Amino acid sequence: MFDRIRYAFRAVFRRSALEREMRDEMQYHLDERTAAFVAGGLSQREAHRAARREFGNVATHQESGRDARPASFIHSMLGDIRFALRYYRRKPLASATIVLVLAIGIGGHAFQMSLLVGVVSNRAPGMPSDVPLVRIRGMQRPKDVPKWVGAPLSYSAVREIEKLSGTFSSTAAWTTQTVVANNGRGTDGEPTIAHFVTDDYFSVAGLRPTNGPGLPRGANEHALAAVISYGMWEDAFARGDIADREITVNGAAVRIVGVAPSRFGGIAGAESRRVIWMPLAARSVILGPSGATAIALSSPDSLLLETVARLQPRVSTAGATSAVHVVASQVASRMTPPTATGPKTAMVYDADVVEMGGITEVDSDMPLITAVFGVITLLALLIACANVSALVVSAGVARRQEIAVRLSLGASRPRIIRQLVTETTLLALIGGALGLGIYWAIIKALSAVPEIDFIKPSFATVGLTMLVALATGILFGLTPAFHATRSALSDALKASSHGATGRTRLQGRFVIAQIALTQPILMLFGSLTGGALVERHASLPAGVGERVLNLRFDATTIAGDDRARAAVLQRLEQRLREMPNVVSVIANPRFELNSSLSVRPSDAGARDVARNTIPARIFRVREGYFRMLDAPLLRGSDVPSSDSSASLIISSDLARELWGDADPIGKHFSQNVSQALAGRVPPKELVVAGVYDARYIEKGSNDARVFRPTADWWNDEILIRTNGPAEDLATAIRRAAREVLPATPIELPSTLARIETEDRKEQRNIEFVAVGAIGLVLLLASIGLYGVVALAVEQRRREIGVRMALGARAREVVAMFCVNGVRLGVTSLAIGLPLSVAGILILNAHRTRVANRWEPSIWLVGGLIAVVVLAIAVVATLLPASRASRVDPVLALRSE
Amino acid sequence: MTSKSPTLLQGTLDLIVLQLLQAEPTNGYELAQRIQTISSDTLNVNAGSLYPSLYRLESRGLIGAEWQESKTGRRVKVYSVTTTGKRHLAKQREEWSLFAGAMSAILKTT
Repeated sequence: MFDRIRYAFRAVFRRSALEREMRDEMQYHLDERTAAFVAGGLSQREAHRAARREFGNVATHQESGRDARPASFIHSMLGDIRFALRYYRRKPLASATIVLVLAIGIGGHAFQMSLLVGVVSNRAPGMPSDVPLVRIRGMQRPKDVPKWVGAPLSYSAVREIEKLSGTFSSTAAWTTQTVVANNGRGTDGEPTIAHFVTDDYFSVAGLRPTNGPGLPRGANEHALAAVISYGMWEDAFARGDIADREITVNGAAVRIVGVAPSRFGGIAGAESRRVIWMPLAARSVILGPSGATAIALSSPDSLLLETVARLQPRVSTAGATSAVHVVASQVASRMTPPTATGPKTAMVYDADVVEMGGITEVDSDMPLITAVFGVITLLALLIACANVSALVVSAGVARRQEIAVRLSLGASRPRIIRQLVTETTLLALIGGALGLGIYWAIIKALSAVPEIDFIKPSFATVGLTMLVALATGILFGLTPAFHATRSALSDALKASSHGATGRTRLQGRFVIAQIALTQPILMLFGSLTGGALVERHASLPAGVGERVLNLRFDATTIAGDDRARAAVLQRLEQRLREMPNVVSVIANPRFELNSSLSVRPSDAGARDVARNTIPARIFRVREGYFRMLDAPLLRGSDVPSSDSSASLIISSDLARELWGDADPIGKHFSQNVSQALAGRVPPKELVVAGVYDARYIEKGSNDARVFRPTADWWNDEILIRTNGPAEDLATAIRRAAREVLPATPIELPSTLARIETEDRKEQRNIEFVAVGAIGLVLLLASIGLYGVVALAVEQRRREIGVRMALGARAREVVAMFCVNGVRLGVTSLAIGLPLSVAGILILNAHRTRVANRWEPSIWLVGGLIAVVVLAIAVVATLLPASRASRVDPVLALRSE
Repeated sequence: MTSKSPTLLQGTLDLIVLQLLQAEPTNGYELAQRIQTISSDTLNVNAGSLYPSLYRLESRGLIGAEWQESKTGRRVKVYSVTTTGKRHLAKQREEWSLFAGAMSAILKTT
C-alpha cells in the first residue's frame, strides 16, 4: 500500500524524474540490444539499426508507458488545459464571446429556474418548507357551468375532514378578517389582520409561538386570547415583555398569549406586519354577535374556512382527494336547496387535495403560465447552447489545418477530440462561473423587492447550473470535435486552397436553428406585452391627483344590514364634507359586475368591430365624479336616469372605435350578464348617456371600463377633493373617519397621484423585463449570425483575393456575404415563424381573450419579427463582410 | 509481438512478468530476453507492451524498482516482486491453472 502511494505521489509531483528514468531505461535496452547484435557479428551501424527496428517507435512506447502510470490522465488534462489557455490567449475575442454567451445563457437559466421553483413551491413567509402540508380546496360551480371556482369549506365539512384520521394525521382551518387592534400606543387603530383558527393551527404548520403558552385548546368564546405577529410585537411592544398584557380587538379586551415566529403572517401568508391569531370560537365575539357571525359555524351553507392538513404516511394526494370527495358530497347534501326565496341557482360542490406551496387556487392560470415559462427557459438555454456550438464549430473549422498537422504527427483522433472537448468544457466552466455571478447579482438585486422574496438562491440551482455548464461543454464540444477531426488528412493539409462549401454548413445549421428558436420567444413577448408596451395610459389632469385623497376601509366590519351601513357611510361622507379645506366628497366608483356588451344591430353602423361583443367591467358611478377629477364628460351627462339605471357612460376611445365620429349618445347596447348566468337572465338594454375622456380616466386594459350613473349606493372607498395639497389632510381625515367608524380598520388615505405612481412603477417594471428579454434574445441571435459570416469571410479569404485580383469590386464582395447572411435569416424565418404562429394560436385558444386593449395581431407581430430578424441579419453580416472587402489580394494569395 | 508468435492472452503478460521477477529480480532488457529464451522463442514480447506492463505493476505496488549498477557498469533499473505482488501472483497462478485445466479438458472433448 505504502509503495503504491509513494509511486502515485511521484507520478504526480516528480513527473520529470519518472520521465528521465523511463528514457534511461529504454536507452539501456537499446544499447544492450545493439551490443548483442554487434557480438553476433553485425557492424555497429547495422546493429544499431536492427535494435531500433526490433524495439519499435520509442516515442510511442514512451506514450503508452506514460498512460500506464497513475495520474496520467491528470497530466494529459493539465497539458490540454495549458494548450487551451494558450489558444484562448491567441483568440481572445472569440473566447470571450463564447464565455459571455454561455454566462448570459446559464445565468439567465439559473435565475429562471429559481423563479420557476420559487413560484411553484414557494410557501408563505416564515412557513417551514420541510413540513409535508397539503391544502384541501373547496370549489363550487352552478350546475350547468363547467368551470369550478374556489370556495372555502363550511365548518361542518372541516369537522368531517378532521375525522378522516386514516388520511390526515392532523388538520387546521382558519378564516381571516380585518379588525382594529389597539394597545394604547402610537400604532393604534391600524388595520390588523385577524386569523380565527382551529386548535391545531400552529402545530400543523410546524411552528410554536414564543413568549407565552400559545392559544388555549378547546377555547370557548369567552376566553379571549391572541397570539400576535412578530412585526406587531416589534412595532407595538418594542419586543418587550408581553406576559399578562392585553390588546383591544374591535373594542373587546384580549389577552396576549404568545408571539408568532418572525416573518410568519399565516399559513397562507398575510401582507401586513400587524397580524393576530385567535381561537375560532372568539370570532363571533370580535366581529359582533350579529346573526351572520353567530350562525357561521353551525350553518352548512356558510363557506368560511381555508383548510390545510398533514397526510398520513403512504397516503397520496390522489388518495386523499377521493376521501375528501365523499365528505364534500355528504356535506353538500345537507346544504339548503335552492328555493324561490333562498339561493336561486343550484350549485355543485366538491373538494380536492393539493400539495401546499406556490399558487394553489382552483381557478388559477398557474399550470399554463408555468408551462409557458418552462418552455421559454428551455428555449433560452437552447439558444445559448446553439450559439456556443456555432462558435465552437467555427473555431474548430478554422483550426482544421492545425488539427490535421497533429493527426499526421501521430496524435490519435480520440486524443484530439479530448483536447477540443477540454477546451470547450473549460470555456463552459468559466462561462458557468460567470453565469453564477450574474445569477447571484440578479438575486441580490431582487432581494430588495419584498414581493418576490420567494426567489432564493438554492444549492440545487447552483449545482444544476454547473451541471448544465459541463454538459454544454462536453456535448457542444463533441459535435464540432467530431466534425473537425473527420475530414480527410490530405484535404485538410491542403486546406484553404478550396472553396468554402460544406465547411460552414454545420455552423449555418446551428445559427438557423437558433434564430428559428428565438422567434417563438419574440412572438410570445410581442403578442403578450406588445399591446401593453404601446398602450397610452390615462393620466389625471395636472394637479388633480395631488388634491384628491382615496380613503379606504373594510365596510364589512360595520355592524348591521345594508341599510344600516348605508346610513353610517352617508354620515361619514357628511362628516368629511364639513371638514375645512374639503371641497367635495364622493364615493369612488364601485365595481358592479363583469359583463359583455353588444351593440344593438340597428346601431352597429358600418364598422365590423361594432358587431363583436365587448367584454366590460361595469362600475357604478355617482353624479359629479368626473367633474371632481377635472375630467368632465365630453358628451352627455352623468345624472342618473329616471328609468332605473339603464344609462351608460363609455370611454371616448370605445365610442370612437365603435362609431367613429358619429354621436354615440342614445346608441343601444344589450348587456349579457356574466358567462355563468348567460342564458338564464334575459339581456338588459342599456343606452349610452355619456362619454368620458379616456385621456384622463382609465378606460380599462383587458375589459372596457364603463360606468352606470346611479344613486343610493355606498362604497368602502371614498374620494375627497381638497383645495390644497391633500397629503397634509390625510391624518386629520382618518381621525374624522374613525369618529364615525370606531370599529372599522381604516388605512391612512393616499392621494390619487401616489396611487397612480405606484401603478406606473409596476407597469414600468414589466415593460423593463419584457424589453430586456427581447433585447437579450436578439443580441444572442446577432452574435450567432455574426460568427457565421465572420468565419465564412476568414475561410474564403483566398477566394476573395482571387475575385478581387480578377476585378471584383469591394461592394460586390460585401454583397456576396450579405446575401449569405440574409439567406440564413430567411431560412430560419421560414422555419421559425410558422412554428411560433402555431404556438401562439394554441396558446390563445387556452387563455381568455384580451379585448378593448389594442392587441397586436399575430400577423403584425410576425411581420415585425421578420423585419427585425432580417435587419439583424443584414447588420450582423455587414460588419464582417465589410472586412472581406478590405482583403488585399496580394497578401491573401501569398499567404498560401 | 511478431505475427509468427501466438497471441498473448489479455492479462497474461502481467502474470509472466510477475512469475519471472519472483524467480529473479532483473531489469527490463534482461526480462525481455528471458521471456524469449524460456518460451523457446515462442513468445516475443515487444518493448511497447513490456514497459507499460512493468509501470502498471509498479503503480499497483505489485513490484518495486531499484537503480543498480549493471555488469557493464551502467545504471540500470532492477525490478523485484513485493510481498503484495507475491500474494497476488499465488492467487493468479491458482486461477490460471484452474482455467488452463478447464480449457484443456474442453479441448479434449470430441
